[in-house]
Amino acid sequence: MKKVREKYGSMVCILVVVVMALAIKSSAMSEDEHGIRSMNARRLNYWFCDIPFEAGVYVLGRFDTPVITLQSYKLNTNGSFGYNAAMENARMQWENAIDVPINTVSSSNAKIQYLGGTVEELVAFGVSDVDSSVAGMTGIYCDDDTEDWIYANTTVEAKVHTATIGYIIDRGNANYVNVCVHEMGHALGWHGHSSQTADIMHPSSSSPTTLTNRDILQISQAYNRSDY
Amino acid sequence: MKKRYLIYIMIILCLALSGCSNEIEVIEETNQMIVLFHRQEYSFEELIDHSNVALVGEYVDMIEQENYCEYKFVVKELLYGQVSEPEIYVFENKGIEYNPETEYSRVLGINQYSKGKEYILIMEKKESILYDHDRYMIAGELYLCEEDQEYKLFSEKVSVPEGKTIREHILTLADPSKRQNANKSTVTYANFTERIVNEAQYIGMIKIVDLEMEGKVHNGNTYRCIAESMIKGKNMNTFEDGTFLLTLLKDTVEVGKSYLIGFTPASGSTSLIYIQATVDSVMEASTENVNLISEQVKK
Repeated sequence: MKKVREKYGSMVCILVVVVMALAIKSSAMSEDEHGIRSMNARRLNYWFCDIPFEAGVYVLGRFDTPVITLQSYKLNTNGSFGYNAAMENARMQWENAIDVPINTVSSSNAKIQYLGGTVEELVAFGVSDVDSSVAGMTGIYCDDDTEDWIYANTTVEAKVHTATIGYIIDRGNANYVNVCVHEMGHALGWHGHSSQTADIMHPSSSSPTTLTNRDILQISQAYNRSDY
Repeated sequence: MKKRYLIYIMIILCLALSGCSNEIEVIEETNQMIVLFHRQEYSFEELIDHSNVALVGEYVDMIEQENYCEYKFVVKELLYGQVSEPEIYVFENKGIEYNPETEYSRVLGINQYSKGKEYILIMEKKESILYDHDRYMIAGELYLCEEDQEYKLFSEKVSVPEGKTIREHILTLADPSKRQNANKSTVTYANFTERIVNEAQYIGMIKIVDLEMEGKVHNGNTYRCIAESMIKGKNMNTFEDGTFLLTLLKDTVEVGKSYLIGFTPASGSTSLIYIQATVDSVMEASTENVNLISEQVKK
């Protein structure tokens, strides 16, 4: 028995080391790829984001969670600033569009965070500094790892959003429903814009207040889990 | 045999430890922020109308920070407004900016200036105790270079009337009141308590409940706070739960502790976010400080 232990003992130890090393490596990989689905290039059916995120860069984002949390509040008590109602309108429209619950929470750890206020109030909060001409801002934290999806012959970067924070500027008489729905579209995954003026995701702060089919189809394909 | 086992254990430990450190690096790398801005596109006239400073500056250098960049200029000639230093810093966010109506977008934080060249800058000047220096912002993509005879706003040519220079054109469009260059009156105080009491709209014993946001574009952190007692100012605005937001210079307070703080609303009377009033208006919650401030308030 002692001879057997001496003969095979070192081999068993080496085996244990290799198995443990592999286990450590694989656990690091799963942390590394948190939130990223492993799959082959997925084909998209629509592409209405014809003003791309950046010249030649096509991006579609999404949250990879069964429920998206939203924290939203005003930084002032100004009753004529219709931010709260506009943001609730935006939440409901997008929740229906992507068919994923967007739940309002009070925690600042929410996946989507929006604040409404004057330029001075929002600048004091310290995420971004803005001049008098800025109407809204959305900052998106993304996982570094991306997948490549395909629309026609174009490669689309599929980014996983880990968190977003945005500002809606109190500008007196602005169309806040349009601004809030538009900005939340970015938070959910619309990284560029539509060139059609009727779409909420056109880069204009003009009249549309209701999502068009184009707005919905573009984003919902990122959340359409049955296609995976 | 025992030595061999010890070597194996050491190898396992090394592997495990190197696995842990790699993981930390991955987490740190995976949080890049993409920022999208929506700007109401100003015409050249509107840009001048919203500005409070215009000058000719020689471009010196670009200072890049994590979330923004600053372009340093030496002031050569002031066209209107006030500057307090011979060098100014023009702030620009990092991110992507979209301009409504024109379907025009640009990547922010990319230098368009050449060292040693002079540019005309039309800017909005901001002052705050939260900034390292006065902050100047340009409300649009502006490129006015007399040396190159190139005058553009959002890549569109700025037309200058015949017989006029670009400087004359700017001064014609600017409200005459902007050209007065009146010197800002500076108030001097006998001591720090007088300064705090005069500059702060509210002074009170404030408990720091939580860190709400670590400042990314200035030297402040925003905390959720509760007012325990007030020495100056009444009926301040709070959220429904009685808390309010207060932006204080970094590294001045600890969450869970109370301080005697002088502060003012970030903008109008309806603000729920406040800023410390002076660089020294966050004080230890001592009886001595309370007495000093209370006596000054009574004067």
